[in-house]
Amino acid sequence: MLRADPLPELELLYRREISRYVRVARAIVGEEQAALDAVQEAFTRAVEKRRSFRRRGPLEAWVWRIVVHEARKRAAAGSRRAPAPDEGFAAGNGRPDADAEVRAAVAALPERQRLAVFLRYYADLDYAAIASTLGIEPGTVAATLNAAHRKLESTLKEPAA
Amino acid sequence: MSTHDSSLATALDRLVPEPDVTGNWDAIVRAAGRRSRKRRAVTLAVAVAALAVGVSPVGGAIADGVADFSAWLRGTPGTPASATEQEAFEQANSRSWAGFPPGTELRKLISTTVAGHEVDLFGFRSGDTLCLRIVGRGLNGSPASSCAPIAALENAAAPVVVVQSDHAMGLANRPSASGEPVAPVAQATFGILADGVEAVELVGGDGTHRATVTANAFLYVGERPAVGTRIRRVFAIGADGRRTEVPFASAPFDTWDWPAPSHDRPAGPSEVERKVAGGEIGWVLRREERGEAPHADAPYLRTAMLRNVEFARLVTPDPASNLRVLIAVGPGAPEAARAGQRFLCAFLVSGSGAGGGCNLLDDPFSIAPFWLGESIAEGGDQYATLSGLASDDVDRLELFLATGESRPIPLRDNAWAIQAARADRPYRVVAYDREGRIIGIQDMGAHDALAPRPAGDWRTLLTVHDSRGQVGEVRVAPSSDGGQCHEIRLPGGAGGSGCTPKHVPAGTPKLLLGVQPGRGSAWLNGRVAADVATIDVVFDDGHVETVTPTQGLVLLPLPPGTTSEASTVAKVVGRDASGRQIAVYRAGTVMSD
Repeated sequence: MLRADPLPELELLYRREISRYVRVARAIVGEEQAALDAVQEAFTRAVEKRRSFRRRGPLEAWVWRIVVHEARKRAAAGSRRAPAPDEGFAAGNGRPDADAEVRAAVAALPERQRLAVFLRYYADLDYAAIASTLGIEPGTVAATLNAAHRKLESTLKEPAA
Repeated sequence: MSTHDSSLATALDRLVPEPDVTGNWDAIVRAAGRRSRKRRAVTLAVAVAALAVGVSPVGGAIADGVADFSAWLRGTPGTPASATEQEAFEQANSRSWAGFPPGTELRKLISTTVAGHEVDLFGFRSGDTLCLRIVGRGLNGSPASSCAPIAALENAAAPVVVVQSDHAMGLANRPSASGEPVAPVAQATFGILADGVEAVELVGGDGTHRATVTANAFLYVGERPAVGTRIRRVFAIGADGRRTEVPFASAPFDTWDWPAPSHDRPAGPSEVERKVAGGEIGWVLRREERGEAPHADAPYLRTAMLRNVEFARLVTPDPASNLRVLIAVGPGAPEAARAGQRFLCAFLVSGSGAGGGCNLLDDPFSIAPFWLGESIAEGGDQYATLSGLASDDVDRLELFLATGESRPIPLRDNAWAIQAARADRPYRVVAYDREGRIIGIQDMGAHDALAPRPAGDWRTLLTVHDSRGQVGEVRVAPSSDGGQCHEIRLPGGAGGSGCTPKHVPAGTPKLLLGVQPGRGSAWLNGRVAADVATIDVVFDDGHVETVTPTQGLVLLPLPPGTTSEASTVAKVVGRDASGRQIAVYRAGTVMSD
């Protein structure tokens, strides 16, 4: 019940870390504008709901949960709209898509593994922060990431067809 | 990281490159504010419904979804006041020309004894505010009421809302023989508590104190504090012992002990999207009788600016509030009347008094499409009232607090008023047109942190005697920015103060003057620009008195019979060293109270 307004901290997080939020959101939703929209919406919700933040954990993890939730929601809505084949990661203006296999391998990961990879590589979160964001035990994060690494590395080892 | 890790990182980097984005925080705050307002509108509708069946006591059922202050918002804290206490309140209220609504019911919250005097804290609800009333038996300076808007409880950042700090009771009737202030018998700080607050700790200049906490309220009364003692910080302590600092603005003492602002800069949009000019208020120009007529005996109608008023209407911007705005048209001073000038005036009228200002009726919105004024009844009030007029160009107004929160401002018949926590200064008020474009932005308190302050020893610059032998005094000190601060003290305690910046901003008026009372006399005082070598004080009867400012400061006792309410000063002419007229000040064209 006794808590200070976290609005200044939210503003600081937003201004300092927006690139990381957008990058993770883009990894989830697949398109930069949608990612930006997801982050804006997530922070709007965070500002709106900040009184409910009980400081039982870091504010950053609370915000990450909202961002990931918002991005997943948009990704799910996008998938219901029957996305084009291979939609997910931008291939870039007509260049040969050399990372198709990696993209496919990432897309094939179970969602928890995929999100853990995104948070680890694109947000540079430590295991504790990833655990808090995904609502899992820190020990589970290591196992989750290991499993994801094995699958992705096997893709990287195999020459592209 | 292994080779494969590195390869994986590289591949992932290629898949989602680091974006180059800056974001838009203002848009987030605005969007969150809009949603909050939608929710609040539902809450307000319930509140208005409650009011429709009569003025409810504190804690009338008004709000859903507010857990922390539910004892205030839903319940009935404390106990009903005794019939005697209720009657005393009603009698005092009926004598006030801008009092609380009839039928307002008091609840007794806390009782204590200080220096042999019983001190009681009562609570009541008035419109959209919750008010606390301090009563010290046998102590002057009481009873006194201070209010906080219900919205403050809905949006509170801490489980304590301080309503008033260092309210003085038992003041001596006159200063000491040396002219220095005398300490009161007691100073009271009080406020409203959420459920679960175990204690309230107040850190003052004389140490740390625990307040009396009961009935979801707190009261601390300092007994015979040293002169200038102030509460500086307030903490709420929960059942688990955790301390939370409460947003708080300490009461100023004397001239220069003003609290440092909690926030450096205002929040909210910063760019005007459409420029407007030549605004007016059509219904006032057409003399339509909107709102209500002011009471003929209202004392504010006797102030210099409202003498000979030709048209006056009282507008209530928010039906749920007892804040009203007097809109008036009149000639102001006789000299202005002779010149055919007319002024448009706006006075905020509340339970604690009235104050406002005027502008030329021909072009009242030359600076911005709305006026912005800030009022507090006394220094320890935690909630200020912002108010003013808006031109017909303005469709709606929005208040942005320095915390980033925004609130819609009640606006009706071109008059507006809203309460805001002083701890949330600086404020920003934004005006929108019918298409939602921003047409005006004004800040209040934005330069508090930058304002120059005294930074050296004071010395007496001028000592002037009036015709009765009473002494007025001007003291000066170097300011923190290399300029000069001044302090004017008049007989009876009136006066003024300020700092002249080293680099005076362009557009600053050359004559910053006023007429103030001085125990049976009146004094022209203030400061003038550096290039004003002399001033001619022109009286209504044509008599002229020439004064040479001293270091840009003026202190002139006016002839017997002159009062601040009925000034006989028609105008003041500023002249440069060659005698050329370079500025004119006309009585009634500056802010007054």
